[in-house]
Amino acid sequence: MSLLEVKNLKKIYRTRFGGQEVEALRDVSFEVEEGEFVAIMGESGSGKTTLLNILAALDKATAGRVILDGMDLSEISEKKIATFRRDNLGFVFQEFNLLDTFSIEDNIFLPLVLAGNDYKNMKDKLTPIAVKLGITDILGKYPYEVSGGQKQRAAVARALITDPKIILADEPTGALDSRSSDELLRLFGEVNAAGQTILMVTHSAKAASNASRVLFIRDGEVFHQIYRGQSTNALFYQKITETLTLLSQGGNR
Amino acid sequence: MRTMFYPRLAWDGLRKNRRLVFPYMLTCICMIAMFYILAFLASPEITDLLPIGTMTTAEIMTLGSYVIAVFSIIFLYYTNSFLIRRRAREFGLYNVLGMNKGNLARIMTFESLITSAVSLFLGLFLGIVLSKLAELGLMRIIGGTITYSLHIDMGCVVNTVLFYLAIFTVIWLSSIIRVSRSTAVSLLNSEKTGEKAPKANWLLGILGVMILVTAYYIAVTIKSPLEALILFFLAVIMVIVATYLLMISGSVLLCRMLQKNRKYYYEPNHFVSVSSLVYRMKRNGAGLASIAIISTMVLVMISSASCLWFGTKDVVNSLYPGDVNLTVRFYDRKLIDEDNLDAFRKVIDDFRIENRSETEMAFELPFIEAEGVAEGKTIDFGDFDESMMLTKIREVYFIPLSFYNEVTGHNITLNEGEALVSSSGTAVNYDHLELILNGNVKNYRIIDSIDKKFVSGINARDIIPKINLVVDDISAIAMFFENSQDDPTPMNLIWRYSFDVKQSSMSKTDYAERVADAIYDVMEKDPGTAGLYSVISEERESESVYLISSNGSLFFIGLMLSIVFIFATVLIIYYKQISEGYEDVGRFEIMRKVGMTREEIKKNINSQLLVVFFIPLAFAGMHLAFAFPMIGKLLAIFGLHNKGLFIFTTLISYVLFAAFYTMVYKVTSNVYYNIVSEAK
Repeated sequence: MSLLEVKNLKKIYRTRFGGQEVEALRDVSFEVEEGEFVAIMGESGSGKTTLLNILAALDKATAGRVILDGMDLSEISEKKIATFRRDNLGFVFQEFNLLDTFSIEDNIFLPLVLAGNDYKNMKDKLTPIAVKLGITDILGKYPYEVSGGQKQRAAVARALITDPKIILADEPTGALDSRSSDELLRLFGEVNAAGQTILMVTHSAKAASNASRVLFIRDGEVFHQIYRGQSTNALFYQKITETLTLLSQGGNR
Repeated sequence: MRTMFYPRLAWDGLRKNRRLVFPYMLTCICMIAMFYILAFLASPEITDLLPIGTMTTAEIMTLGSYVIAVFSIIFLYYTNSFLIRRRAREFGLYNVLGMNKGNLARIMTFESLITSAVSLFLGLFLGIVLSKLAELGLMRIIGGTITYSLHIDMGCVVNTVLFYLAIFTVIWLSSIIRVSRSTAVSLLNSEKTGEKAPKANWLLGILGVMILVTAYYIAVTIKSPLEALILFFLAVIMVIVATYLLMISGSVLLCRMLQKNRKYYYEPNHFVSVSSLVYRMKRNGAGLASIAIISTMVLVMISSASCLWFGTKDVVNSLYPGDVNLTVRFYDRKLIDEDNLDAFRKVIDDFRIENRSETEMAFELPFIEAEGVAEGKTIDFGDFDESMMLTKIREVYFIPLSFYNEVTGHNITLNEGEALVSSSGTAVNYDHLELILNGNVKNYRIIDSIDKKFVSGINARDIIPKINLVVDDISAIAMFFENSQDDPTPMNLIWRYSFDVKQSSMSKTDYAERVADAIYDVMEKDPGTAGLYSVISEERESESVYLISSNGSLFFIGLMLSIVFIFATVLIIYYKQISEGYEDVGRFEIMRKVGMTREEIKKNINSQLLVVFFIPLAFAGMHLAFAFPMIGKLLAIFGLHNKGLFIFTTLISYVLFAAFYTMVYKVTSNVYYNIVSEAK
C-alpha cells in the first residue's frame, strides 16, 4: 500500500455572493510511495496550492479521497484534524511562516510544545537536526535577525522535528536567492536520502529536478508525470523543461 | 467634474475607513459638546439662576472646561496620529499611482475639512441640546431656579468653535507634515516595519517599582490633610511616571523572567501566550498605561466627588449642630467659668420667652483652643515658623470633663494632672504629655483615650490635625497660658452653643441675628463682661448654601469629566483592539498551519487580550486602594470624616466602572474577532 493515496479529488469554489463556481481541481489521482521525493509542477492557477491545502487538511475537498498511511483525511473529525496535522505532516512554506515573536529555537519547538513535550526531550531531538541543517549558531536569534536561507532552514527543522510521515513543501525556494535555493534543495535531497518522504509544489524546473518524480498539473488534472530513473539532475532538468514547453504549447500527451 | 475629484477621494477615504474615522469623530463630537456645556454652565445667564455662592459654581465649571480643553488637545492629537499611521499604506498607494505630495495634502485637507465641519456642527448641536439637560441636573443638585426655555449662549458657541478649529488646524498641519516627510515606499511598508525583540530593561523596571512604592508609601503614611494637600500632586505625578515605566518595561521584564523558567514556559498553554505578550505589552505599554491612569482619574474623581456630595449633609450637621449656632469668644480667662456661662444662657432663654418661641438644645461646649508644635511627648506653644513646622503643627483643644461626661454619658473622674486624649494626626500613645510655653512646663498623665463619637462632634473641619485633651478643670490651663505669656496669650477661650428653633414667629435667620443682638444688649451693660467677648451667630441653612453649591458643583463636574474620560478610555481600547486585530491576522494563519486548532488559537488569544486589557483595570484598582487614605485626608479638609461613606462610594464606583469596562471590552473584542476572521 502506498503512503499517500489521492483518489479522484475534486474542488469547487463558490464566490461568496452570487453562485458563480470555479473548478480548481477537476479530477486528481496519484500515489506517493514511502521514501519518495515527488515534485508537483504547474502554472499559476493550475490548482497546485488548492491540492496542497487539501493534502495538508487545511481545506476540504468537494469530492474524492485523500488517504495517508491508511487514514482517510475526510473521516477525521474537525477537532482532531489539528492534532493529526501536527503528528503526521511537516510543512515548509514559501514565506517561511516563522512567528516573529519567537526565537528560531522556539519556532522549531512550537509543534513539540503543542504536543506536550518537555524541554530536555525537545532539545535532544533538535540537536542532531540543527547540526544537519547548519543552524546551530542561530538558534537563539530572532527571525528578523537572520537571512532568508537561514529562515527556510529553520522552517525545515520545524517540519522535521516531529518526525512526520510526509513533508509538504509549498514553493520552498520561491523567496530565496539561487545560492540559498541550491543549498536548500541539497538538504531536501539529503533528508530524502535518509528516508523522509517529501511532496513539493513548485514553479521552478530547477527545484523539481531534485525530485525522484515530477507530476504536472494543468486545469485541475494531473496531466503528465515523469520519473527520474537513472538520470542525473542535469538530464532530468532537461526532460522537465521539455515537458513544460510541451505543456505551455497546449499539446496533448 | 475635476473640481469634485479631491473632495470625492476624501469622502471615499473616510467612508472606507469608517471603522477608524467614525469613533474618532464621535470623540470629537463628545468633547465639543462637553466643552460647550461647561462653558455654558459658567455663563452668567445660568449662574444668575443659582442661589448665593454662584461664584464657586461658575469657577468650578470654568475650571472643568479648561480640563476638557487640555485633554482634547492631547487626546485628539494622539488619536489622529494613530489614524494617520493606520492609513499610511493607502496614501503610499496613491503616491505610487502617481499622486505627488501636493495632491495627497489636498486629499487630507478635504478630509480634515469634512471631519472638522461635521464634528463641530454635530458637537455644537448635541451640546446645545444637552446643555438644557445639564442645566436642569445642576439646578436639581444645587437647588436653583428651574426654567424650561432653551438658551443658546452665542459667546460660548463662538469660543467653542474657535478653540476646536485651532485644534483641528494643528492636527491637520501635523498630519500633512508627517505624510510629506515620508517616501512612497516607507508609507507602503510603515505598517510592517520589522519589530525588534523587546529587550527587558532592568533599570527602568526597577525604577518604576521604586517610584511606585515610594508614591504609595507617601500616600499611606500621610498624617495630616495639610500634608496631603501639599504632597498629593507629587504622589500623582510619581504614580503616573511609575505606571508608564512599569507598563512599558516592567511587563516585558516579567514575561522575560517567565521565559527563563523553562518548565513554565514550555507548556502548551504558556508557550504562545507568554512570547506574544512580550510584544503586545511593548506595543501597547504606553496605551495601557494611559488607560490605567485615566481610569484611576475617573475612579478618584467619581468616588470622592460623590462621597463629598452625599456627605454634605453630615458636614453641615457637624459644622452647624443646631439651627442657630453661637460661637462666643472670651478675652478674659475668668469669663469661661460656669457662673458667667449661666448669665449668657439666661440671656438666650429670656430672649426665647420674650418671643414666645420654642427651642431645643443641640450642642454646647466651652473649651480652650491653642496652636502648638507637637514633638514626641511635648507640645510647645511658643512662637514657631509655620512653614518649617508644617507637619508638626497641632490644634489643641482643652475640654472640661463635666461636659464630656454629660455628652457621652460616662462617669469618669480625673485628678489634677490627669487627662483623656485623642488625636486626628499621629496617634498619641505616650503615658504622659508635656505642655511647654516659654520654658514653663505643665505635665499631664494620660489615663485613657476620648470616645470617638465625641471627637467627631467637635472637630468638624480638619485642616490642621487636632489633639483633644479632656481635663478636670480648664481654668488651670488658662492660668498656665496666662502666667507663661501674657500678651498676646496664645489661647482662645471659646464657648459654642447651638439650638434648634422648634417654633417661632420669626424666621430662623432673624432669630439667629436677633439673639446675638440681645446678648450684646445685656452683656455690654454689665461692667464685668463689657468689651471682653465677641459673638458670632450662624444660621444653618443660609450658612450651608455655600457648602452645598460648591460640593454640588464638584459632584456635577466630577460626573461630566468622568463621562469625557470614560469616552476617551473606550476609544483607546477600541483602537487597541483594531490594531491588535490587524497585527494578529498573519500570526493566526501561521499558528493554524503549524497545527493549532481554531479553538486553541482563539482561547490563547483571548487569554492574552484578557491579560492585556485587564492589567489597566487592576492597576487602577491598586492605585485607588493606595490613594484611599490620602484622599480621605483631603476630604477631611471639606469637613468630611465619614470613612464608611467614602469606602462605600469608592467600592460602588469601582464595581460600576469594572462592569462598564468589561462591557466595553466585550463589545470591542468582537471588532477584533471580525478583523481576524475576515482575513480568511
